[in-house]
Amino acid sequence: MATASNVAGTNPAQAQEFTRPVRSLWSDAWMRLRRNRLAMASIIYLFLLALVAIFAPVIAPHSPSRPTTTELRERGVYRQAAWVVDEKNPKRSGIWKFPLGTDSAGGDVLSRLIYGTRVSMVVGFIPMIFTLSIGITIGLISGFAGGKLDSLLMRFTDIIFSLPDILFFIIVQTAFSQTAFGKTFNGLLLIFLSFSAVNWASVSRLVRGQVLSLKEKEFVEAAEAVGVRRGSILFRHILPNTLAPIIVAGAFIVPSAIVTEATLSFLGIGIQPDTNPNNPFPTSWGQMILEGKSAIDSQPWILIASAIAIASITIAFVALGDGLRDALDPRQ
Amino acid sequence: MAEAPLLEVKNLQVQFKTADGVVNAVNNVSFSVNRGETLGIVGESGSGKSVTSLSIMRLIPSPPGKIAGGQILFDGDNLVDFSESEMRKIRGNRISMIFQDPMTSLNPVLRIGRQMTESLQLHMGMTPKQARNRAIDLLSMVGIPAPDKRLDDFPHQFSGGMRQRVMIAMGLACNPELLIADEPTTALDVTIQAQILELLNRLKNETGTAIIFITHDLGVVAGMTDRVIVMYAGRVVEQASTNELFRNPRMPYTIGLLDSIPRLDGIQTRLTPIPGLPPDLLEKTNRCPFAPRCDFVQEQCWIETPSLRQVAPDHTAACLFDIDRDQRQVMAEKKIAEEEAALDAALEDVLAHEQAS
Amino acid sequence: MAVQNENLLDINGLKMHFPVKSNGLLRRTVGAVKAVDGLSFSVKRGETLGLVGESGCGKSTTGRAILQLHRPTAGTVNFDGKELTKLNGEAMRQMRRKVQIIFQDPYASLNPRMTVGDIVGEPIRVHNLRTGKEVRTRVEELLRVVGLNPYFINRYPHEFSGGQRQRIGIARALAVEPDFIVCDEPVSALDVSIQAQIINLLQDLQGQFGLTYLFIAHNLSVVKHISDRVAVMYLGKMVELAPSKQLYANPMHPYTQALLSAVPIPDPEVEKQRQRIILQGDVPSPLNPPSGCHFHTRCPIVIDKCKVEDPPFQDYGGGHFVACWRATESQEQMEKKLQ
Repeated sequence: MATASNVAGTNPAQAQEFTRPVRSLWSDAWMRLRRNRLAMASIIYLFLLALVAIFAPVIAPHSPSRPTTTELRERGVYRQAAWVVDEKNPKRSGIWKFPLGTDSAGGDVLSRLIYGTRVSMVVGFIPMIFTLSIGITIGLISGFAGGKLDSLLMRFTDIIFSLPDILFFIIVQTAFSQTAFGKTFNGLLLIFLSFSAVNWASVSRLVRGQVLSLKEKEFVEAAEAVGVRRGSILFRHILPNTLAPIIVAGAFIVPSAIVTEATLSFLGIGIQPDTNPNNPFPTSWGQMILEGKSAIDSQPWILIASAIAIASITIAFVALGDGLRDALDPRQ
Repeated sequence: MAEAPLLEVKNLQVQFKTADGVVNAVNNVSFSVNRGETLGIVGESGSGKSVTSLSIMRLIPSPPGKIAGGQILFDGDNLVDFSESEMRKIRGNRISMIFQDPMTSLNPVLRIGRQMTESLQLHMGMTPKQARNRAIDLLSMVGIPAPDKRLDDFPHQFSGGMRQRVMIAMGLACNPELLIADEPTTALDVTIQAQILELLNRLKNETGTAIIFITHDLGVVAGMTDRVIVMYAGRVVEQASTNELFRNPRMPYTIGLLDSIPRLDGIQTRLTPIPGLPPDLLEKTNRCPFAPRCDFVQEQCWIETPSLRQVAPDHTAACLFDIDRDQRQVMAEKKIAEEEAALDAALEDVLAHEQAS
Repeated sequence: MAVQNENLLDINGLKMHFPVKSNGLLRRTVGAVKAVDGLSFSVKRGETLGLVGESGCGKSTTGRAILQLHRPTAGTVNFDGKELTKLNGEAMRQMRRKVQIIFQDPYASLNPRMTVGDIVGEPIRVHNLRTGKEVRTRVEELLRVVGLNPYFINRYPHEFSGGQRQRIGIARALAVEPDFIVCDEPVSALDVSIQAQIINLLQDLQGQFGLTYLFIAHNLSVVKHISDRVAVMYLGKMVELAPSKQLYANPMHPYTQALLSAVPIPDPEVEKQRQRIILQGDVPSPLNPPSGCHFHTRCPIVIDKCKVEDPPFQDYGGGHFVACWRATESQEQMEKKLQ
């Protein structure tokens, strides 16, 4: 006869057990994240940026790619930021119609900045998804299968890991940028693929390490002892327990991809400028830095504004990543 | 008693700040240790026994922990008021401590010899040569073969039992007046535990060091100590000489512990466990902390926290009532029957609830 | 139907060697940890066989080898007439319904991302023992059986204490309605006051469901309390196996004698009277076990023969098996040593 020794509810001390809400590890982590002010500020900032990216056509005062018709005659003449007065050449003095001025082609800098958010968001998230998918798949197979397949996959991973990535990007860009494939989405697809092709290696190493340690855990042995099939063990028991570090890794991939795109565009081999007004990704912050650099003396605002935009989105993602790590793994 | 005790802890209060609130890890704890005496502190995880010993060494991580009140009088000085630099002169010198896991308290990248001679040079003002000779003596005293060669080994080159011997040698290096042993044999196998316990007993007789022996193992307490305090939920709940405590336990928790361990030399067909779980130290209540699990519980227990009171000569217990071990079986059976009835009722509730939804 | 064999489990010459690989690129095998090195014993229907030994003696590996969680290097594991070492795939999965395990660490043995209902319900779903809503009803029933309130079915493991989590692990093992359960140190990680709850629970369940246990532990007092027969292991081999009372009253292997004398007894008056056999030194590495009798390096009454010849594991009457050349005179010789 089993004793009822552990049953709650028989005295006041244990009665409260019944009223406590269920807490999963995820809801615990969310609670910890919410207490992290910097991470929460980052989330809000990134959420606002996402809105800006989605509603860019509504928010941007002008077309980012070409001067609006009334200003056509001013083509070739740039304007300073709104608060700068150019006494020698009044045509160049800032007006509030173009708060951050216009570029040499007559494009509105603020509007370009707003549209640039789109590229940064897309360039951050899509390669992250690619990278994680490849990395998780290879890491799971490698760690779970073990043996020869594991050795083979890991040697391949080592090779990818040791590639000098900037050099790799430059080669890929110069080789493919003029092909139809290289021009898809202004060259964004090529950037996504080349970034993911070299960055999954660290994810797959991380996942494999997690799988190897989880495989030895008693709850996995218990599942095996109960007769759970291997596939279920992998997807029900192992994968959910690797998600926390994967999420953290993902949060750090995003800023790295954003910086990579900016770097490539700055080198002139990133996304290609497009004057087609229907193109959703007409310009990027990296490109603006490149232009801003050549106009640093006459129009410092182009460089400064785009550099601040890149720095702040990167810092926000890094802060979020740190916050996620603290929240998901409270032991550290 | 003619002589003043070596260590006197008075109304010690230790708190930890956590995300969920303030945990009262040690609550109004008082006890004393005489010179040359071995005091056992028994308790389960969360009872506050380790926190108490760390407080004596002033090694409570702060924050989140802090000594919120009370005194720790060591040889007349209140250690609570000592500065960090004054404490460093005490630690490892006049009071030393050995831990459950020697690997975490030895530096893995330094040779054993270096780690041992360091404190000898620091506290005893020895020359490197003197210190090394003393280290060799200490290692051979704790039964490590070829001590002059082993001095040049790294911690990982020792087995678990041998590491604990090294820790004991380091603990005794400066002839401390008090040695705190926090679960020193818990991580070891029985035959190795027997070696270490024998060693500690021999050294105690040779050096006259007072020992605070912290453990959850009542068997170890029985063989090693002169006096015992039992801790539960951050409080001292019983205190007596070892013989008296085992012969005549008066606090229901102590009785419960003794009844719940199988004995190698006895024949029990059935153990009498303590029902339920230890309390949450977060909540502040006025009840007896053991009340929810107690077989002897009365109305009064839910509204009054009992303090230690004299129940026999040199025997105090924190229980409002005069109870003893023989009464328990009867009470336990009655209580189990009651809980089963309550369980059935709870189940019916759940089922009814389900049918309704 | 044929008459049921008295033995539920028969193990013969069980060996479990783990290869040790070199660190280089080629990962050559440079040796083997002989965790289990030739065990033969059987477990009778409805009994509890205790398996004791110190860390590294191979007792846990034995449990896992029986369940085929590690495939044995050699030997046979015959369970209820079926040879487990030969089973594969679906046949093995079906066998898993009959043989279960309870683990030592109540924190590592439950998946932290699954609710109690999913953990206990998984075996039921995997083997299609119940369908639809009945799974939940069955889980609630199992929780009640192990003394947990079914109300907590949607909670996660980290919301429970060690003892409660151990109960969840027991409920999971019971879910497939097994005949045989390997209890691998089920109470070692628990506080003293909780240990007794779990020991009593295991005993109750045995009576209720007619279970057979292999109870693995390093705590001799606990093993003696719960077991009908007790086996003692040292460095991958069994050195003694006897009915519980017999083993404790009349241990014939010097290692068993030392082990028993080393266990502290919670009674100061008894402790004062006791004479301890203190073994010298540490357990040798299973990577390179001593020649002859594995215990000879620490044995107080070793003779030359022990160093070269491995003693047979033989019955000295009444099912009292001992592997020692001096089994019949060991107690007497030990007494002399202690004088």
